[in-house]
Amino acid sequence: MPDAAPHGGGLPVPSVDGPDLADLNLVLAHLKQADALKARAEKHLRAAGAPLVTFAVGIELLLWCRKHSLSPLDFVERCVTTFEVEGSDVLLAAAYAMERDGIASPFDAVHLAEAMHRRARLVTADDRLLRSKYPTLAY
Amino acid sequence: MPPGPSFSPKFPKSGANIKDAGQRSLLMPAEAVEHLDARGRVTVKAAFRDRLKDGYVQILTPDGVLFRRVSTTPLRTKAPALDDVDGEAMADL
Repeated sequence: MPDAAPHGGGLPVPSVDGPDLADLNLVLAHLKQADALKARAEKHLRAAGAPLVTFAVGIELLLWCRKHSLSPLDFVERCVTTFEVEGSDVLLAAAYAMERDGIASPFDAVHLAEAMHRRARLVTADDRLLRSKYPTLAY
Repeated sequence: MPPGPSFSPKFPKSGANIKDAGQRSLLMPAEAVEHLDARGRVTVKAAFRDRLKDGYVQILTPDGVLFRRVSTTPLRTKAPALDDVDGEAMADL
């Protein structure tokens, strides 16, 4: 039987039986040498283990790296070796595309990496992507 | 040209076209690393699976499969915690 919503009304809240999910703050607090949340994050990780990092958080990590002009490859590599990360193969390839192949947008990098992993082509009208080494098809 | 499948997996020798500062890496053709098993699943060959256990990540690139050793040292950055960042500004990227 689902638990009742804590606020009293609305739909019942389903019981929680899935793995815990990490937010980007937790991931960054662990990966960075100094962070305001580092002590809390490390304490939680020691007590409860590493939560799952969803693909959405992986994309958020790429966006954060671009915003602060940091190496996405360094952060994603350390992330996938520390946490269980959804779509880690695609995220690694996307980080490589951003850092080494000059794909500026994290979303473009993810799309190209996804196409490469599926042995497919990305159908696009973007000249920059069409000129890249990644598999694309112009429309 | 990266080394062929006969390459010994004992050492992580840098590929000639890979520029890594302080990180050892190895670029291999994708066919040398992965293959389809009898059930059609993509499988990493045993020699390279050992590499992955040794602190490496495997990255599929347009030039082949890149193995990079991952450092365990925390990353130095002056970037603020996300709590200090306006969420709407992040969304405008």
